[in-house]
Amino acid sequence: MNEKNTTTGMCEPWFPVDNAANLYCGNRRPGWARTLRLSFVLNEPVKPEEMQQALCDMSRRFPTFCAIVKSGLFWNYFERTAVQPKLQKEIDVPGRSINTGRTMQPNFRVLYYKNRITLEVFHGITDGGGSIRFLTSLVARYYELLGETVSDAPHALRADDEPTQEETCDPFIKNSTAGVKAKNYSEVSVYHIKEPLLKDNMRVTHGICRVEDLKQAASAYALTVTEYLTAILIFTYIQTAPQPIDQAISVSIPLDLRRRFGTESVRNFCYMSDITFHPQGRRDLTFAEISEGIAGMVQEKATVDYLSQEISANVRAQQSPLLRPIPYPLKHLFLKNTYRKNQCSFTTFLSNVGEVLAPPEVLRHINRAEFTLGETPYNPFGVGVVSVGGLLTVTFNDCRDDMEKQRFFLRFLASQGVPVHVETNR
Amino acid sequence: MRCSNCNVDLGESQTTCPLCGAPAENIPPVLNGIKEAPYPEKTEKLLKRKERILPNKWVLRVAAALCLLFCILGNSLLYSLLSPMILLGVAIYLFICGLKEKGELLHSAVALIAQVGIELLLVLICLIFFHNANTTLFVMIVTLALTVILYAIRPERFTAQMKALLRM
Ligand SMILES: [Zn+2]
Repeated sequence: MNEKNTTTGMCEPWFPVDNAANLYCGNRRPGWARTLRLSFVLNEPVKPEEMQQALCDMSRRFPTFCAIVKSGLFWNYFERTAVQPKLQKEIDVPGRSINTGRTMQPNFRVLYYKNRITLEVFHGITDGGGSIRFLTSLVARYYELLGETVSDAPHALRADDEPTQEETCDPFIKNSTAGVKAKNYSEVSVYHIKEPLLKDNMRVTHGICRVEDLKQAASAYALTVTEYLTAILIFTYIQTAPQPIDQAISVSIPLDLRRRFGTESVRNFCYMSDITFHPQGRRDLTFAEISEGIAGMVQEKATVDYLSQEISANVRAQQSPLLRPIPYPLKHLFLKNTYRKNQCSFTTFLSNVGEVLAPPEVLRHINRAEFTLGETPYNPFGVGVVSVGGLLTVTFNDCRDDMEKQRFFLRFLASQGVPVHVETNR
Repeated sequence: MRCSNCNVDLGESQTTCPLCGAPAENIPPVLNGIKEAPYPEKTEKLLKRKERILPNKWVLRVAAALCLLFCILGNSLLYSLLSPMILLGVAIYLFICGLKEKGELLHSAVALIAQVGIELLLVLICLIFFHNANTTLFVMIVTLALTVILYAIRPERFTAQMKALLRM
């Protein structure tokens, strides 16, 4: 990359963390950092040599990925690293935390095992939408190296193009407006699973189904697919809790803002929305009652106006003139508290990163995709959703030794007339 | 393969249902065209990958703290010889790191400047308490010189590191 070229996206050896990354960077612990995992299951086994070459080509194309988070005197920042990412054979538990401290390796890893290719990335670097963009581009490049003619598509970045400013900029700052007050997280008492977490023992369970079947089942309750899956998740919590739940069940739902704000950034650009339902200690609630209670909750908070206000409030808090001159160790105490409050304000998460769009020549090689968040000390159980080529995968990540929630959820889905295929790592 | 207990399809190679533990039944799946993607077998002893780890910056901090302690303890041999030598070693180490591509991770430039500050403090302590700061003064000048050389060799990286560390 031309270091002097200022029209391309990235020429500085360091760049500031974005608004969302600030929280993920500030909340790291020794040996743990929020990690995302996205996999594509291909129709053929991965050829490591070509994939390694594709990875080298793409690391140049995604300069904000080849970076390491560092602590400055006033803020964290990302330092670009010249160390090339190395394709690794998967041998470990899925979603193992990315080592962000005292390392020279970029804060992501690409793994392969038989016909599965996986990206595991520190959440400070990117979100689900950015991960899809990276992995799609990587796989498109891989098939190009294998001799396929891959047609141009906006969803797969080409290795020989220069990164643009639009891709590498901080989209939060770009899309914020002045004059919005910073906000505080409310402290509502929500239900949490109180079970010990097993270290290095993440279990992932995939429930694979057809998008069409799911849409049909959701439309029977006048819900979107995300709302429908969230309703089943809430129903699962109510039915499988050891005692009736007398607290709110709040499901955190990240919303991808790229489409809404028309940006192509490959960095973090999502907003944490939520669906909250209070079962009032009742275990006899029907699924229809829950569906009615949550219908339209996501849409309500997904308008550009509302989101723009929220983004501006968060950016405003980060740029506060009172906060800026405070040395980072002091800010860190505040950030940690904010993150703790944020994490305690929901029961679990359901992250639907949507459909993987790729050039048709690439799509025909991808059987399905899988998305999940890595291990976390806060929440033992969560759900990731992604679809590609008509197949949708619901992935449960669980750091407990119990399958009750997965069993209830997938059996219920099957009972709704949605055929499900189940796979797990154990 | 299927589990009629859970009413779900299972992979061809699965012998039991992961949801309920019941044996998988040899029934054709409802969903067709789903490719099995196994995970690696979990070994008893997890093979943790060795990622290249950088020298801990705490080593540098401890070195500076030790030097300061030696001075305060007032042992003439320690303050006049050992402390400045430790600092000299650290300064050279930082300088070499600053020259290397990977060294930027250590904030060598910033660390060198910080070290000049610590050495200045030591010189003052030595002058006040022991009326002799020759060795420490010499090390401080060397450190300062190394800082200037680093700037002369890699001005862009030097400035970038300062900017990044001081970002507000
Ligand atoms: Zn079963």
